[in-house]
Amino acid sequence: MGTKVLGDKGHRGVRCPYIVSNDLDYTKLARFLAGECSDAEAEEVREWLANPANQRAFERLEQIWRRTAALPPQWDQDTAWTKLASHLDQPAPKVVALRDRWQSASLSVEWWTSRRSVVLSATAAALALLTIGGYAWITRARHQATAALREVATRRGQRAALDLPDGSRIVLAPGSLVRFAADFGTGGTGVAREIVLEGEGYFRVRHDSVRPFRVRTAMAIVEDIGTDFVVASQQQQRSVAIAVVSGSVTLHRPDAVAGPPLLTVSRGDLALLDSSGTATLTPNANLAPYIAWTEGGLAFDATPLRDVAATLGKWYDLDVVVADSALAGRRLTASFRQAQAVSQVLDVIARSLDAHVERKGRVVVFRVTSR
Amino acid sequence: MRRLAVWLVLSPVLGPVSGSAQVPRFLRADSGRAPVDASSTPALRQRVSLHLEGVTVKEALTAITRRTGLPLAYSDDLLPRDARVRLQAQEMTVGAALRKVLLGTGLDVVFNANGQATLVKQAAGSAQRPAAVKSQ
Repeated sequence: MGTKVLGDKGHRGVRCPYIVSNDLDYTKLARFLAGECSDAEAEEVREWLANPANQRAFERLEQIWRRTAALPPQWDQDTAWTKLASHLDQPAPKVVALRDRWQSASLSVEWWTSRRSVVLSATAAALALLTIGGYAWITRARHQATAALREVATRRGQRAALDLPDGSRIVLAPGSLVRFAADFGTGGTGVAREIVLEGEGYFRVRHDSVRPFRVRTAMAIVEDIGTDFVVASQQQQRSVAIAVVSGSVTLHRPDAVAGPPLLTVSRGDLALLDSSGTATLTPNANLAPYIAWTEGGLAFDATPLRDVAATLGKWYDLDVVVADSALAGRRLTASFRQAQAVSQVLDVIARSLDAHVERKGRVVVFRVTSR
Repeated sequence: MRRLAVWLVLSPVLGPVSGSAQVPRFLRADSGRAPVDASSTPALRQRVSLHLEGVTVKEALTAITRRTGLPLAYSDDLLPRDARVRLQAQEMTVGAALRKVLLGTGLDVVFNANGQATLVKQAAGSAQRPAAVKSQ
């Protein structure tokens, strides 16, 4: 099974002049460039830079970093990478030999740090360029075990947009994963286009009446009826939320996709399926907490600080601690526009909840304000 | 001609609203919470039409933010649960709408440098100060 873990360590199997041979977490390099490394991480990066090859790779990454600062904050721009690439005076690296349907797929990756985000987009032809920026497409050993499935996974602090061969698009939230057949969308009449989702994803589906598009989570199957929708699957809580932006979807139990749906969820509706199997539908719901991230923002609706902390940790790759149980239960409603620095987001949250926030490196602590 | 009709009904649980007490103010997050000039603040000068009948303060705030895109943050625990808002307005400024909805709640609106708004409790004694902002 081919797994593409974005921004993961190192790079193997593809010849590229800018990629270093020894492993280093590229998100660590991003934090280093943003001045957000802990002392230990900074020392690790400096040791890594002692290698001349690594130093050269770092200089290229630094160039990208500086130049993306001048880019607009929108993350999902197909032109972003083109702009970046035009600043590079190096010849284009060899194109990765993509196999199967990946030849017509493309991927955009956003790399959030506390100060700003970096955006890279790639089509198959430009895929190798991604690696210059530190985005590694890793083919894991299990690829050899079965070539029938493909996976794309994001780490904390990352989002990825994946354009599928059938014209559909998936935007994957941080810490999420999608898995699908290598021959996705090529089946005959009645063969479903099925995506397995762990975590949270936004799906813009190219409707095909004879090839149903289904998103399978541990708790439910969501079937498109021509639509844009968000599926947020909470593995630990064994629950799933479906927010429909346009069109409609049907919600099924995992073992009963052929039967009548539990719910039909239409534009503006929010469906929740909890761990007991109870499905609820809220028409004309406030979808902002579910869809704001797809546009680079964040939103909360009466969300306890403990859950806000978990979201912030995932989005900004931080360790967020709430030092007081009563404070952890305070509920926040908030919307944050695109590309706000985490320091500003933390300040606003603390001000809203009458709390105090401290940050040291990647560790953030919310405390009750002392009187 | 612009029509403007506003009614606000808050339940007795909030207590009487008298003089300038409990009048929400617009303040800066920095500069020692200096007043914001609503007439020159684009987010507060936006116009919005609202037709709200007996809704909660949260519902009224949600209506304002959804229609205007105003980025607003607050603790739900600070909002009065039982108060009901009735607000009928055509082309009202966001500043005026917020002042009507938050009247009597004991909350101020604080703006940071990015225009992000946050509701905060009024500091003890500060509610007696005259409202420093002209929002129309």
